[in-house]
Amino acid sequence: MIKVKNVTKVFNETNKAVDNISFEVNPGEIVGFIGPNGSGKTTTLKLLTGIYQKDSGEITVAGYDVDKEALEAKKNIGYISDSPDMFLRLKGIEFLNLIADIYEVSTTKRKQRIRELTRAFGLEEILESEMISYSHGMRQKMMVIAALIHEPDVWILDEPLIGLDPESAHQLKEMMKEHAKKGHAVLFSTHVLEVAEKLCDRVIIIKEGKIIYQGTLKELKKKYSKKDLEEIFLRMVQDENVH
Amino acid sequence: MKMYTKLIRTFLLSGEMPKSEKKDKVKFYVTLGIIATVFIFIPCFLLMTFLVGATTVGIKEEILSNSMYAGNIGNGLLLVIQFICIFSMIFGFNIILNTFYFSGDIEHILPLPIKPETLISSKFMTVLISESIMEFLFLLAAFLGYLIVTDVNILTAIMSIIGVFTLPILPLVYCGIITLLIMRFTKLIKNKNNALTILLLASIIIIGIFAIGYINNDSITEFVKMLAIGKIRFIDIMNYIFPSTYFLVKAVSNTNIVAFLVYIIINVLAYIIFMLLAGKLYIPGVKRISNNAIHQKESIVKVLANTKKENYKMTYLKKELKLLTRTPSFFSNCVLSNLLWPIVIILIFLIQGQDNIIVEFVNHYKQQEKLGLLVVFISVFAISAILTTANSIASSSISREGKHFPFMKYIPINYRTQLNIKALVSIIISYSFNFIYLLIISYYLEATFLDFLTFVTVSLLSCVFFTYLGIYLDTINPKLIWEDELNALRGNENTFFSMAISMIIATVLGGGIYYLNKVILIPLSILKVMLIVILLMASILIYYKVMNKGIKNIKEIEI
Repeated sequence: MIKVKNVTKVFNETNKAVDNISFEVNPGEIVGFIGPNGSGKTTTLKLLTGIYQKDSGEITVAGYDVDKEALEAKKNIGYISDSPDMFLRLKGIEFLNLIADIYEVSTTKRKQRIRELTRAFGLEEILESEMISYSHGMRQKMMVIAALIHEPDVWILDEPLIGLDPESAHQLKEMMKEHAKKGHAVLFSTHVLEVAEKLCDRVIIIKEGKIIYQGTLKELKKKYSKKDLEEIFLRMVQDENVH
Repeated sequence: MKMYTKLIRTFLLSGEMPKSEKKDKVKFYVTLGIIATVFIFIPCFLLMTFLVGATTVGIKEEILSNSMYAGNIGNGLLLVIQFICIFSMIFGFNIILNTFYFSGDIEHILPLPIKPETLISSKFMTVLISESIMEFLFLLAAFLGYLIVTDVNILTAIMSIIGVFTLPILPLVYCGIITLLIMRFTKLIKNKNNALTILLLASIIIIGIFAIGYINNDSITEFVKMLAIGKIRFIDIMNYIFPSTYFLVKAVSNTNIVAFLVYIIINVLAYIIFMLLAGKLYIPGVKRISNNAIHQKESIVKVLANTKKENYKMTYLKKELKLLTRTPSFFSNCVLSNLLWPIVIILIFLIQGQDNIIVEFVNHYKQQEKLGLLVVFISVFAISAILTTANSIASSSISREGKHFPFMKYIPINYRTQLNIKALVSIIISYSFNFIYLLIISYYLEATFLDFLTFVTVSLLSCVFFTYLGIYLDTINPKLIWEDELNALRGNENTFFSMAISMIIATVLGGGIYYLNKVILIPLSILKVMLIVILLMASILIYYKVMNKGIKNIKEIEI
């Protein structure tokens, strides 16, 4: 559902944020995108959603080229950005309706989705308030609801669990599993290795813009003959030769 | 001291507009900067210099002609700097409130081991520097105008220079003290929303007080005479409110060191009082506004009852309008600022008294005289152009997105639609005000229906052209990184350049129409059609520019 082939992104003509990366996320898969700060995770996700323009390579999402068929590709994506502070002067319900209208969700469908999702995240009663009065966690939940309201095939989530309380984080993880089970795809970035271990079918580890590993965590543990994932990760990102 | 200067530098930098890294964009901005300096800054500077210089010469002659006149030769200068102080207060409230209480840095700085007095004094200095740059220029021009026509010596020059940089202190101290008291002892401003109401109220009260003191029906010559006699009620009232202005002008006009020392003492005392009060009131005041999470609870059944699918373009338009009207800084600067125009026109009437040049042209127009018709026609175009650019709705349409700019990029709505909706917002608001003013002007002028139609057509085209021009400029280098919403607009060069261009185009087209009519003798009716055609073509051209180069610019912006 997501195909990335030899993609490179250079900032300011010198800084290679993403360096010739290739990977795929197949239907029914949850893939974790792991890497240290500044490794290129967010840049890659922004390339997939059309926020950044790639310098070379090919990207398709749900079968659509993100450059040539940008609108079709975007319609199939549910994206959670790294900042939940969006349109804070809008009321919760206004924000959700804005997103639902943009993705052309029918009245019946949106009512059902808003009811389900706000119940799941405990935001049912505050939709009439402006989002400026929400806490950071509430805003993050709002972003999750907005990203999922149109039931997109492909979920691209940038650190989606940050700011969520344990109950909501659990809820979102269950939703991700459910979504994948239906034959859709989830790609999300995270720093929490335990989450990746429990949730992901595969992981992609990126360092300095280059993918240094992709596969299952089981295979990774086998390769390094260690049990502790954190230790393996630290060794991989610190090792100069791993590329 | 090191922390103090570091904080000032940091606060100033966070309000600055980031420079583009692309060479062609930098070149474009430098060119615009030069054009704006040559056509706006220098003429404004010279105009102020001339205004003060000419008034001073007039007062000097009046005093020489009549030994009974007890006025000060510096009364013209005094009047101008008192006006500058008033404007400093009107704009100062908004900036003080945002810098001291609502800027995003507060919650990060408060936990740091920084002495409250260092924080307060650095914030005050930041406000003084950032708010007063234009003020410094006007003050410099005013003093220059005065010094050119009087006997200047090194002492008066030094005192004038010190005055230029220190005069804004007292008005800002007033704003600061009032803000501190409101924030500490009242519940009027718990969050930014009711801040707007208070600011508006404060501005209206200030304008009201000053306007009452200024009502005047005399002609310019009579007014200069009154300045020479020294009997101007406005100056007397202002001398009590801003005593520093009185002592500074006295010092400069009489080379009076004692008066200058009093001026310095007034400023130092004002600053000390502010610091003492701020030391006691600022931190508790800030803490009172930190918790503003009030949720309006409503059952989901009730909320969803009104939920229905709408056309996405309409929803996007509503979103733009809601953000513009609900965000206090945007609402006051982009929407309410349009109400300033009638005030400006009333002030011109008041200042000019009975020999009003506007009244003269109105009479020419009513009598269907060529000159009156021509001037009114040019004015309609020029005012529409400047109103559209001055409210900054178009020229900040991308900047206002701030850190949620990526939203524009990842939603499945093409850029063409999004930019057109942003343009529509500017046109709806700017043209609504334009239209109301045109209705009033047409009624006052007793304009024919055909003239009214010409006015509304020219105004609409002017509004459309300058809206798309503003949007185009904002796509080149939008100010997307800002701590508080006011910073998206303040120091936004796109608004300034947009205004500068509108002034230049209005002058060139206005001058051209005047020349073609008066010298080449082309009839006004033909010139009206010509202007409409020119504006129509220019609007189409700028529209295509936005839809091609503007969209390309948007695609290239990566934050």
